[in-house]
Amino acid sequence: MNKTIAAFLLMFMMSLPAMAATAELLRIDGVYSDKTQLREGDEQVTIHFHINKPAQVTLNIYDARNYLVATAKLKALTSGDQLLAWDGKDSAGDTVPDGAYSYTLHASSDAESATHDLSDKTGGESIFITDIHYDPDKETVSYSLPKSGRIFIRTGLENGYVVNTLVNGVVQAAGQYKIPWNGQDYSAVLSLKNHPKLRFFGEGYTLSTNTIIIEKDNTFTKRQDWLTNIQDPATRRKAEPRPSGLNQHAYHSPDVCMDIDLALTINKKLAQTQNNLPLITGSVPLQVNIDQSNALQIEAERLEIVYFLDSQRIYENEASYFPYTWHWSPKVLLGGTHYMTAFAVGFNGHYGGATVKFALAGNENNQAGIK
Amino acid sequence: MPINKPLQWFALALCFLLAACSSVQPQKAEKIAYLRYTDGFWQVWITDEKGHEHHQLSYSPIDKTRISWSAKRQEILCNNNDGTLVRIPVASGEETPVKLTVNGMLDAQWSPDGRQIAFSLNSTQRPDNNDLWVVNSDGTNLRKLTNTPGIVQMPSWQHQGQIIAYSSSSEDGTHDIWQLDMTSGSKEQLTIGQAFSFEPAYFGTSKIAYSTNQNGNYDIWLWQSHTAPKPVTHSPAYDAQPAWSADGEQIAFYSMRDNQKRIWIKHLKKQSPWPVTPADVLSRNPIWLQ
Repeated sequence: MNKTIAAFLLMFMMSLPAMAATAELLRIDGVYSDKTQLREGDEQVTIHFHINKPAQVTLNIYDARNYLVATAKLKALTSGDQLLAWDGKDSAGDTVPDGAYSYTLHASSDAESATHDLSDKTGGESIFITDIHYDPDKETVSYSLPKSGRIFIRTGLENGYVVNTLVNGVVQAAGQYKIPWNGQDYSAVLSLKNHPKLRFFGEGYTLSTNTIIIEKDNTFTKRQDWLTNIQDPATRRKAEPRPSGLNQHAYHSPDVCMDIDLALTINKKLAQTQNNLPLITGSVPLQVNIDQSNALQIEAERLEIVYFLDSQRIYENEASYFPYTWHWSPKVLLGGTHYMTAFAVGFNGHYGGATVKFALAGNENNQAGIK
Repeated sequence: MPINKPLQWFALALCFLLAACSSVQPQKAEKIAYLRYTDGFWQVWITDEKGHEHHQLSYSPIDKTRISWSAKRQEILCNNNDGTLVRIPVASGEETPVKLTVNGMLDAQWSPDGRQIAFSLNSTQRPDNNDLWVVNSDGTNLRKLTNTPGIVQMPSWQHQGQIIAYSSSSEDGTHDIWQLDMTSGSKEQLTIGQAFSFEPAYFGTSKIAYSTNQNGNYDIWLWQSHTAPKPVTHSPAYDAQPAWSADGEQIAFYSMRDNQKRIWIKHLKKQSPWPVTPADVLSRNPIWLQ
């Protein structure tokens, strides 16, 4: 009998470490939101979750730059299914600008804590939009977005260059879209509505699964505004490195992930034609420049600048800088109206362009047009 | 009348002292040439390593895109934006065209002995198809050193003049630092990774500084033979275009930290770099007299 009890006690003592190891840790699971967008008229989004132990839970809302914009806190929650809500407002009670916002949950008790954050673990996969149609009469571009994401819609000439960016790194929910475009290029100099080589290109990347899209403005193309009254920059969420193989834009900070505004000028005083076009009679300096307020981000893209004369490539420079000046000498004086375009393409997959319209001295009856 | 011996010795000592003083040259600050945006064009300027004095060297109405010092340190070779080259004596500032049989050169760099010029050139009609070329400074013996489908650019001569480091694109779109041995023709890839690496600057025979975004943004890194590359600068700002000091202890580079486009200098054994060009002007592409 004593031997039996002793054996039992021995077995019990040996199993104590194993029992301790399998004691449950605090965790958050079963997380989902009742909606992924807040549109005009929506009051709030509710985040549902399950905690396996009593804990205090905090819901944090971050903008796409990872700045904390709002917090909702519940105290002394019991274990089980719980929920927290966000009304689309910041900590000051103001509605946040349209865009993508991510939520995280943090549970804590006296002895332990747990965090649920899918911001860097999900999303970033490439989205390709192929079904894009242009109605030149109605001046609208229609497309279908298969998944919510941060999107670029561009238009350009086949085997040529991008002539305009219609959707510039904007967050859009999955669905059907129809956006206006008057057929003009970046500089509103070229009208390409009926150009036979006009093409449209759409790409982007998916958002993380813990994203809420605020979409009160239904123009769908307006570049996102950013909150400027960040209360405490120190509360910025520390992003983890994203896995490789994602869409290249997913690695960019969204506030600088955009196509570029370029300016192209003929840096020489020229006579004007009767149509108020600059008249080029010889070598001219063609200067490309950027908005210097964005220079820090743009120059880090290491842009290549390519010049096109009447949509034909005539010059490029691999390592470009701003302001950038190239001297062009018209070799064949084909009189009439012409277009010079400077096009920039960066290693980060961003584009920009600018066009000037000018006249060349020569046979005034010989119109070159666009090839 | 006999000569006073102490006076003789004093006079002799004075002569020796005067001779010694005349042989001691005042220490000259090292010269740094760079490009500054001036009156609508990027021009060559010269300063010292403290950035105390700056003076303009070039004035022609065309962008200068890359510069290098001559072997005798008295001239600067400039690659203009139209693909032509000029040489500018520091003393006179008079620009003299370098007459070569080829046009459209980029990134031209004098060899350390001044006898050759390395440059990048697209000799095909295909876009993004530059290769590395070399020509004698008198225009003879033009030869193509690489034949790749991508972009080969930004040559930098090793001190002994037989090896050239450069940046080259890859099929996957990345850009890496390579070096080519002109004697054997062999090429060696020095950086390997999914990043963009540019602007190698050779020091001596075994150290190359370059700009890369390997850590997410462009910093200056150091490659040394038989060691792993390591970062020299650690700034979220854009750091690029490194240039070595004569003793190899410091690197001048272009940076947009402090929200300005300036030239900075960093001592390799110290933490904080310092600016050498004014904050209110656009400056880039330093080259340090070696």
